[in-house]
Amino acid sequence: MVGHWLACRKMIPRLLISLVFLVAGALKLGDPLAFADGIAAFQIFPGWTINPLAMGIPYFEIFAGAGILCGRTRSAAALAACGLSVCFVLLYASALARGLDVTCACFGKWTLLQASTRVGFVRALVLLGISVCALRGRWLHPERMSPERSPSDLRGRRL
Amino acid sequence: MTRIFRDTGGVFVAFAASCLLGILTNSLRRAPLPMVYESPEVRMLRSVSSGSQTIFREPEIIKFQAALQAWKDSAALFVDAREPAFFEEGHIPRAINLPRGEILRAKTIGTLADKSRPLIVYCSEEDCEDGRLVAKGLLAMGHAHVALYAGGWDEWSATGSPVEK
Repeated sequence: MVGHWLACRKMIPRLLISLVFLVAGALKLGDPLAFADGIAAFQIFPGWTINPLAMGIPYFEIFAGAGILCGRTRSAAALAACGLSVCFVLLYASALARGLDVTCACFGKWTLLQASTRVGFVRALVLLGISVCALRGRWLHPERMSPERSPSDLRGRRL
Repeated sequence: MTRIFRDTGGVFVAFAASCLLGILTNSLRRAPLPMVYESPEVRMLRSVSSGSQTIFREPEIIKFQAALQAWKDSAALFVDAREPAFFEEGHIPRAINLPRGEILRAKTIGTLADKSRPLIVYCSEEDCEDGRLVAKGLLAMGHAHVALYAGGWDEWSATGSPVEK
């Protein structure tokens, strides 16, 4: 029962981060131009990098979101989610430091989820926190998460 | 440790594959993104210009005295680049309203049909970007003489000059 609860507790951040990245990636795919404008608003990237990033990042988010749900790719996908979240945090922090008012189209045309710089920064921090939770179990305690170990091994260890 | 290297490598491979996939699917779109980013301003100017240029002329900047003289002499048509709600609250007499979002409407406005007629564009204040954008848009549309009155409505109304509501 306790083991079942622990497994569920570990599943929640994975499911959350997966859902966020899958939705964000899919929405951005529908409107790459708005996402390109969102990237340009940070005034960091040179012009020749913005459109290739706007074309590629949505697929990368979908890879990360889907990968977290699969056993073999889970740790790499969680690492990708962490990397993206760190980038978002740094971008928003730099925008805040420079006093930029950035309305990132992080969820495409879904205006309900468009956020001001401050809200975007907080949202990126929350996303980073959940990504770290999803990654933590895979890297800090790999022996517990290894697919080679059977449930009876785990039960034996606890006993 | 091996796991960390393997995962990091996987992330880089996935990122490269995503960019390639993005570029590939972009080329299949009905309206693909260009490889080099263009700002909304350039896109807007390109949409109104007849050619395919990427560098657009900047309007001449004029001061209050020159704008007032042009108004007194009826030497130029004033174009108010502010949103209609602000225009209706008050504007320079005989000015027409042409916000940046409606710049394409300039092609259907009778008073703008003569492209050799001097135009003076103004906005709310010096920092207002819309005035510069509309002026550049009108230049891109082929108007020969477009000036930007930088002080804009704030300066005009503060000096007690004639206004129309």
